[in-house]
Amino acid sequence: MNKLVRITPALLTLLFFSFAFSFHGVAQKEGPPTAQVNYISSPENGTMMVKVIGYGKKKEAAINQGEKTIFEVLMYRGLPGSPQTQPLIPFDKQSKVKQDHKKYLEEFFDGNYKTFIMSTNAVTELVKVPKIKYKKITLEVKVNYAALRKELEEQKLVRKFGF
Amino acid sequence: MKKLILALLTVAFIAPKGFSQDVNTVQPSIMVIPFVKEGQDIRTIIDDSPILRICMTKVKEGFDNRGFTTVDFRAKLKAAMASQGMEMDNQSSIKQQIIEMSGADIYVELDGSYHPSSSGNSVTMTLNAYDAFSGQAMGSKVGESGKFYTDDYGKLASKAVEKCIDPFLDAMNTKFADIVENGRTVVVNIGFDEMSEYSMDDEVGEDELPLSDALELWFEENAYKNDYHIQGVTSTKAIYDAVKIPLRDPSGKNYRATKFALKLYLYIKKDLGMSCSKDVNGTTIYIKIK
Repeated sequence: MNKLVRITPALLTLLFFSFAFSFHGVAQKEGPPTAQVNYISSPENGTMMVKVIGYGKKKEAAINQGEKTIFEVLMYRGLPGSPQTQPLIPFDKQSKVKQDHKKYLEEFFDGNYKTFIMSTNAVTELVKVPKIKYKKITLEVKVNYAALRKELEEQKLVRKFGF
Repeated sequence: MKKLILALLTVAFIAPKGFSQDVNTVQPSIMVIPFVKEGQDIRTIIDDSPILRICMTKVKEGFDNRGFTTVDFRAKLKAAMASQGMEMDNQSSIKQQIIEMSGADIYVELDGSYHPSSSGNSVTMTLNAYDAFSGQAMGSKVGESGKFYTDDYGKLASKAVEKCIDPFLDAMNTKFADIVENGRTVVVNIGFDEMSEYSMDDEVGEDELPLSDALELWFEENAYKNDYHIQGVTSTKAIYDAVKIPLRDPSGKNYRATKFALKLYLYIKKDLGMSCSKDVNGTTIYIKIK
């Protein structure tokens, strides 16, 4: 009646690889989730200069993570004090937009977001952060948020002005 | 069999074209106007205040950046002055007349002030958007330039507007989204002709309900998402101060207050068998039962 699962070498191998790959997946994350973005100024109409802290094991990864954080904040949180205080994608629409435009958003955060960055300057060197396994870097990034809004409107992630 | 296949092919090729017909969505027309206190001359205010002129242009620029063209207030004012058909004694009336004449659905009222001080000069800007017909607020924002040691108040005014224009337009757009989702508001005013023999208490229709109740049931059925509000009913009048109508009909075509007025008119005339007249002014519908 009682059927016990027999632990065979094949099953052990399968379990080993499952664990190994799951940890590998975690290690691939570029940094801890943060929203350390602060508005500095709007040098020209439609642009904004922000300061962000990026985390990563290497400088390039930390810069990428910092830049992505800016777009996550602009699209899903809003940036107090800036011209974009409200999120570009309204709170009540976010889960639907994420679901309906999954592919676009994946491609966007894979690297397309860089087309809305006008300049990135590292304000500090990559420094170790105690108690976490990542290093951090402070950046000043100039974002063309007007073009970002237009792109999101064209892609129908954000509704255009008007009816 | 051949006929059936032909019919199916016809439906397959023609029907989708019919459904995908392009309809230009009617956009609200917006006009930027200066704030006027009672008794102030609207022309003098604009002519004497470069801050206001700069701010008005900057606000219009903000709308343009979102792909939205506004109605030019100064052009409308000039046209109105040329036609000389306005009551020149009452300044706030002039503003109202220009709003009405322009056909703007929404007007953005703008007020700017310059604050000189020993610690720096600044400009403060207030933006308020209203529905021209219902007076409903559509968004408001205050922008401050911050203090600078400069006399270039034009630059300060630009800074003040730049700081608040995007959040202001976002707030307005949220209202638009709400209108698209929940419909726009119209006011329905139902009254009687002086010579009319009817009153709101008269039993009408097949169900022999009092007219006021028959009308309420109609609104319950025809108001968008069953959303309506009665301000009051007397034996001579019924005022529905907030009746929601859809922005578009089920086929995607624009649905205006006039269409809703026609629907109500036909109900009173055909279903209730009463003669009536209708008048639509913006988003207010007047029905007069004869």
